[in-house]
This record gives sequence, structure tokens and C-alpha cells, in this order.
Amino acid sequence: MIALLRWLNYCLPLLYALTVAAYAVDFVRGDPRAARIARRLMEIVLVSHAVYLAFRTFAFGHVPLARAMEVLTSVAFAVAVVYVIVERRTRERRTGVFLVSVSFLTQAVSSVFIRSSGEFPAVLNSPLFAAHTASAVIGYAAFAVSAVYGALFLLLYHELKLRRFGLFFDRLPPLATLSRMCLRAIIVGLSALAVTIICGSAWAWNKFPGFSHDPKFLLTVVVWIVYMIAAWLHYDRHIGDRRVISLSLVGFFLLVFSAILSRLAFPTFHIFT
Amino acid sequence: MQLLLLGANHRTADISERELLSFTAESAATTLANLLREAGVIEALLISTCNRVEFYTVTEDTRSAEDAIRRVIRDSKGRDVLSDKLGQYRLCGREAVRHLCRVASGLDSMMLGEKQILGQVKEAVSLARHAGSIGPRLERITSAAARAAKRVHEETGIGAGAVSVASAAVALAVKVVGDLTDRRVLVLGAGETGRLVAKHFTKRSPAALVIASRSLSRAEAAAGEFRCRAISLTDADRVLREVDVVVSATSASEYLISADTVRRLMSARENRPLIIIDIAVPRDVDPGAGRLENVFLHDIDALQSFVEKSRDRRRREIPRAESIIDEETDRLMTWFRELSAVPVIRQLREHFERIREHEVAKSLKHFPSGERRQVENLTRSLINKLLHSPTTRLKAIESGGEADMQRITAVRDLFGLDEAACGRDGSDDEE
Repeated sequence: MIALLRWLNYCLPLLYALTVAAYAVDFVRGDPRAARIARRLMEIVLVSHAVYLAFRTFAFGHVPLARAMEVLTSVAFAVAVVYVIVERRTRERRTGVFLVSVSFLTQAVSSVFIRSSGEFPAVLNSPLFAAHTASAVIGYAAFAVSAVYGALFLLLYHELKLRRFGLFFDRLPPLATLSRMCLRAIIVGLSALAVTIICGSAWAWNKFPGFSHDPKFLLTVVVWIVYMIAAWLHYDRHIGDRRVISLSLVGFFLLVFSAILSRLAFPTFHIFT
Repeated sequence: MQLLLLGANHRTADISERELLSFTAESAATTLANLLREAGVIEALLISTCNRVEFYTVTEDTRSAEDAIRRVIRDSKGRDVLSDKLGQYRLCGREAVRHLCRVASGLDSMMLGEKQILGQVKEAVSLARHAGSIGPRLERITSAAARAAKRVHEETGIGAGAVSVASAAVALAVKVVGDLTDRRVLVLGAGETGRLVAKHFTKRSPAALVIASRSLSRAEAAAGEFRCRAISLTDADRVLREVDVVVSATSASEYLISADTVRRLMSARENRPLIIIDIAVPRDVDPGAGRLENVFLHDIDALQSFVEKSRDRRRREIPRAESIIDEETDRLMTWFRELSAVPVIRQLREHFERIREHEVAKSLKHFPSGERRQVENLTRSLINKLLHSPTTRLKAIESGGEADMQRITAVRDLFGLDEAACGRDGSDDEE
């Protein structure tokens, strides 16, 4: 089973890359044959990824959410699932190249750094910790989806303002659709991240008294506040979508920054053994 | 059997000539019925639109079919309007099939890639069915053309993008707000352009369409046409805050909408996106309004550039569309080729087999029983060897050309295949 896991671990980024390539051909050429191939590949990659996560759970005796790289592969899977649902519901396939790229990148990083180890510290064996990591996966996936839709919104907004009727104008869904998808994803992400912070804090309260100084925890709270301000500006103050979405992108960069910073600059923090 | 096309279109004849040639549904049905009575015409189809009049006939002799078409036109129009003076074209076989595929796909249309023509071809087929002038060959040809058109539109971007200012206005609005069914549209101006824009927006079923004009009666006349609301231009300011799309096409000499008005408007409508399409020259909307957030202002130059890019994109799709049409034409021609060559090959082989059986039966009694099987095998092999080359050549024959048809006829004559078939039928009857 470990051998199969290793094989799947290296196959998944390859499958995601092929899917991204098929969606890219469809995006650039508007080729329905490429779209059909992309859809088939997407089904294959989703099934393979689900099998990979199931085998990993079975092989190591825990859901693959305990470590950063396990969370990353789960985020890649969640983003892919979100995209497939969006494509099925809206018949809109032209954003596939961008969203599946997120899955490809996160899975590629996970595949390179993930360890095939069965060690699972007893301290992590708690329902609160499970809720914390599961909601973190949903939150990160939602924010990644909102960032992609947000970036595409800004791209199309500028094309329209500058009266450039190029490839992005042709292929992207309407501005209102991109804005709606981005804002819905922000609301899902905000809710999930709130659960992540609350469950994580409750779990670490007694076990790790110094957790409130953990840079990752602090940055995550800042990220949540940034997204909260963006949502408030949109729903309460009726500030234009462009500024709200720009602010949400700042939140996403902070989120990525916090993940990288906590691993590189503070490797001793947010590690629970 | 041959396919002949005789026609004239917007490239070969000007509008006054096309007017002379055009047929109403009724006159087309009569003409087709008359054409079918002419000698040599087996099947007939007439496509008559504002840009083309084309006669497709399945015939045994293209020359007499052409004469027949001219005769029925003369009978219908009083004179031969499809004369050589008029820019006509005459295509046979594969070229005629290919032309029909191009027509159905919108490649031969004035507006490249338009889809309306496919509907018109289907109507022509339905009319020919009603007149009883269409048979299995033209049915097959027209369904191949419809399939080619479907593929061309699905697999290429030949029909994508807006190619008129009015459709570009709708496309831009849709690109910003998406589905128009829950959006409100205001058209300023009830002149020709205003009405054209309103007509295009009506097709998208907006939640509300309002037409404003200086003259309320003019606005009401236009509104009656599109079943929408009419207001006077002086009331437009009040309606502006309720709408998502504004199209301005008046002949006003100064700005009707200032940047300040739009700024106040945006604040009142909680910064929801507003699309303003200013088709008027001189412009109706202060260009400064376009700098405001969530305001998308497009003038006539932007729309023209949009239309030109769409046309360019369509033109770039032509090679892909042509290759699909070639594929579909080839597929159909293969079917035709097999249709005409296969029976001849079968009859030729049956004819040789009968002779072999007859001769072997006469001579077999002179051979010892042990060698009879070898004689059978030897004669069969001889026949196969002799027929191999003619069979291969017959299979390669294109049914479209007159020369090919002559070759098939020559084979039938040389080996007396028709007589052999009659003789065999006769003997069967006797039995």
C-alpha cells in the first residue's frame, strides 16, 4: 500500500498538470475537444485523489489533516471539488485553467515535501483538533477560490475600463458572475476560518499555554480581520466590488505569507508533539 | 446520377437582380413542382433568401437539367432572369455539395458565420418535402450540410462575437452584468438606431426595457413595437437610478448626461455597476463619467473596434471551418461513390460467376472426380484475378463527375450487365 501511495503521490501532480494543459488549450482556442478531454481528466484526477486520501487514512490510521503537507493535499482536493461543482452547476468551464492550477501547485508542493510516516502524536487525537484542521482545509480552499475569481474579476474589470476586447474579455464569464463567486467564497472562507480559530484556540488553551504568541495564530487572526473588513465594506457600506476584491486579495497574500513564514522563520511554532 | 447547382448570390448579383430572382414560399413550391415535371430532373431543392437564389437538382443529364431550370424560371418570372448577363454560378457534384455545406455554415453569407441561414436551408428542405421534389439523395446531401454547419458552429468560433453595433451593445452589457433577465435597460432615443438596439435587447428578455425620446408619441410608438415602457426624455433622470444598462442614441447636440449626474447616480444606486453605451455622434454622455468606479462607458468608436475584432476573429476561424466542410463533403462523396459503384461491382462479379458455373458444369464430367475440386478452385481464382483490377478501379470512381458516370455506364454496356440482369429476372419469373 505504501508503494501505491508513493506512486499516486507522484502521479497526482502530473494528472493535475495534464488537466491544466487541456483547460488551457480550451481557454486559448475555445476547442470543445480539449474541453471534453479536460472534463475526463478532471474526473480521473478527482477519483485518483480521493483514492490517495482514503489509502493514506487507512495506511497511517488518521485522516490526512494532521500535518501541513497533508492539509495542503486536502486543500488541492477541496479546490478541485469546488471547481467541478461550479462547472457542473454553471456550465462555465473557462475558469478551469486557473482554479485547477491552484490544485496543481498545492499538490505539487505537497507531493515533494510530504512524508510517508505513520507517526501521529497522541496530543492531536482530539475532536477539537479534527474540527480545527477540517475547517482550515475548507477555509483555505474557499479563500484560494475567492482569490482566483477575484484576480480574474480585476483583470476583466481593467479590460472593460480600458476597452480592450482581447482573449480574457472573450473567454471569462461576466464581471457580475466573477464578483458573485468571489464574494460567496469569501463568506464560506470567513465562516470556516472562524471555526478554525475558535476550535484551535479551545484545543490549545490548556495544552499549550504560549500558543497566543504563535505567529501563525496571530497572522491568521489578522487575515480573518482583513476578510471581515472586506465583507463589511461590501455588504454594509456598499463599497464598489473592485476595492473590496482588492482588499480580499491582500488577505489572501497574508494567508500565503503566514503559511510560508511560519514554516521558514518560526519552524518551532505551530508544531504540536 | 449527378448533382447540379445553378444560382446567384450577393457576390454575383446586385440587390435589384436578386429581387427579380427571388421566390416566395408559394411560388417556390409551384416552381419545384414544375421542375420535377421536366425530363431528366429527378430531385429538386430551391433555396431563396434575400442574399441568394439557388437551384439544386439531382439529374441524369446536367445540360438538360440546366435548361429545365431556365424554363421554369422563365415560366415563373416571365423571362430568363438567370441569364448569363446576371452573375450566376453553376457547380456540379462534389463542388455543389461543398457549396451547400458552406452556405449552411454561414461561410458564404454576407455576415460571416451567421446562423440564420441554416434555418433558411431547413425551411427550403421542408418546402421541397411538401412539394414532393426532394428524394433520398438531396435528403442525404442537406442533412450532411446541416451536420457540417452544426460542427462548424460547435467546433470553431465562426459564429462567436457581435458583428453589428447593436449586438455589440448587448454583448458588452452581458459581459458586465451577466444574464439580463433581472436587469433593467434604458434606451435614450427612439430613432432607427434606438429601435434596433431595443430590438436586440428585447431578445434577451430584460426585466424592464424603457424607451425615452424627446417626443413622447415617438417613444410610445417604439415602445408599442417592443411591448415596453415609454417615457419623455425629461423624465430620464428619474429612471436612470433604477436601470443597470443605458444605451444612448439621440441626435442631441450637447451632453444629455454629465459626469456629475452619473457620480450622484452611483451614490444613490449603492455603487452597483452601470453600463452606459453611447452610440450617438455627437456624444450624449460626458466621457468623464467613464472614469468613475463601476461605470463602464463605451462610445461608438469602442463599439466599432469591438465589432471589427469580432469580425477578425471570425475570419481567423475560416480555415478550421473549411477543413470541417471538406471532411463532411468527403464523407458524403464516399457514400455516393459506394452507392453508384457497389451495385456495378456486384453485378459484374455475379455475371462472371454465372459464366464460370455454366462452363465448369459443362466440362466437369470430363474430369476424374478427384480433380473436380481443383478445377473449381482454379476457375474461381482465375475469375478473382481477372476482376481484381476492374473492381479496384470501380471502387475509386467519384460519382460526382460526368466522366465517372460515363465510365460506369461503359462497364455496364461492355459486359451487358443490364441485359444480364433483365435476362436473369426473366428466367426467375418463368420459374
